[in-house]
Amino acid sequence: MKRIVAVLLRAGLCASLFASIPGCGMKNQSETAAEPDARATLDGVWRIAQTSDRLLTTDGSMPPLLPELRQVYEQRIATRHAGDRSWDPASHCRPLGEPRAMLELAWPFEFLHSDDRADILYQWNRLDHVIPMAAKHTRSAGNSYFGESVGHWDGETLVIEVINVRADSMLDPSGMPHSASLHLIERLRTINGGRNLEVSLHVSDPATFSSEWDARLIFDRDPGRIVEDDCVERLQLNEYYTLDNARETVAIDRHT
Amino acid sequence: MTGVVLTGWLAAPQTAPTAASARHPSPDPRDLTGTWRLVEPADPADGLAGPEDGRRPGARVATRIDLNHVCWIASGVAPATTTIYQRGSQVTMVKADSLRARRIYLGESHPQKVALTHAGHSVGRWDGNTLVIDTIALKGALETDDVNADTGRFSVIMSTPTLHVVERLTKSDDGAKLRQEMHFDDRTTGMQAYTITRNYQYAPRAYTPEAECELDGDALVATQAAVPP
Repeated sequence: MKRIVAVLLRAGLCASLFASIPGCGMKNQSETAAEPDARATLDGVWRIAQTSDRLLTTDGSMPPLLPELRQVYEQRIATRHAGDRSWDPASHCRPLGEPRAMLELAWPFEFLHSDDRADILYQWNRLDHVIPMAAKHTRSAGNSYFGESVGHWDGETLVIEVINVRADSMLDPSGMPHSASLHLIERLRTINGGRNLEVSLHVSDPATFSSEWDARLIFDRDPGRIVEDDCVERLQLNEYYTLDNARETVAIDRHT
Repeated sequence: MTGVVLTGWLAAPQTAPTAASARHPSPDPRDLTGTWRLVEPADPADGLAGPEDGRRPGARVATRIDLNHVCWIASGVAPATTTIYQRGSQVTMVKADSLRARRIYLGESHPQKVALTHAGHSVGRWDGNTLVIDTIALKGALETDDVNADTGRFSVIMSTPTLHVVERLTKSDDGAKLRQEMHFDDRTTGMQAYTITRNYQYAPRAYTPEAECELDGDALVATQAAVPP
């Protein structure tokens, strides 16, 4: 009897108050339409909360690169510290790809979405990662720097699946390599009352890593606006923008 | 500069077939969100594809192109298929060209000092159900609506720092079209003011493939990612 009462009580509570609690037997998060406001909080300008040139796993470790590729990565880190970025396609203004673009120089990006698509608009060289919604991978498209991306909503979380990424792009500003077989899943959602954006990454690339791995990036909501950037003009004029200058009022330092 | 990549835009070799008109889902005349495909003037470099237009699957396309004609950063007021987002007091237009994004700040005035950019500085307001956008501080190349017979692309002139553009965007009653009227004037240079009209068709699934231009010696090699079917 007590068990029957407990079951009925639990069902009643689940139905009325605690529908989101796992085990309540209600629809799972992916089937329940999220409140429009929850998804809208993704829109806006974001900037990495803690600057980092290297992508780490969720437990703070170096990703499980295969030995020969770990050597490549460590060599790039060393040469970069010495001022040599000749291995880096971004030094010639090639697109960055993700997640690197989210980390590069700690510059901001703007996320916007509609029912049909989402755009991640980067300040760095005006890059645009277009994510068609409710589309399917074709696996026949050619490779590109942002890859072939498709998106769908899982409750309040935007899930982006990326394949067909060019092998000459890098996962982080320090030159973490990957192969053309990279399969990247990004999950974007806001946390802390919309003040932060959490991007959870799942990386699968057996030609580069000994196992699949996860990373987690946190971004602060930025009150500023995206400033137009032209990478080639920066190189031609031998200028650079400091972090403070990457805002609406721009001051330029000229190197001689 | 050898080895420098210009983020640019290159059309696929052939123009996509015309599609049946889709209609904007919102009856709100001020809701312009979505993708609007430029249909008049017809974009000779239209590299878009979508379910409405047919797909163009294929491998990455590489073409050698004259340095003087392509891979410039497009102007904010140049003709291009556009995806419009409306969020609060900001309207963002993501264009299918090398500029990508321009932002219009509603209810604001131009600041006293503003840097010249390819997008220009744009402020806007609603006039009834017409979005009126005022743009200044443009720099760089400005594509006109005339197709150059030699290049097969829109003709290009250079912006002047005092160029002033006022545009009016109005959605048709049936939600299928967007009309853009643009007035160009420059009182400082004495340029004769002129007005043009562009028409767009609602195309919610039109997709802009990634493209970049790379300097290879004295030529520009532009590549464009394949469009997924």
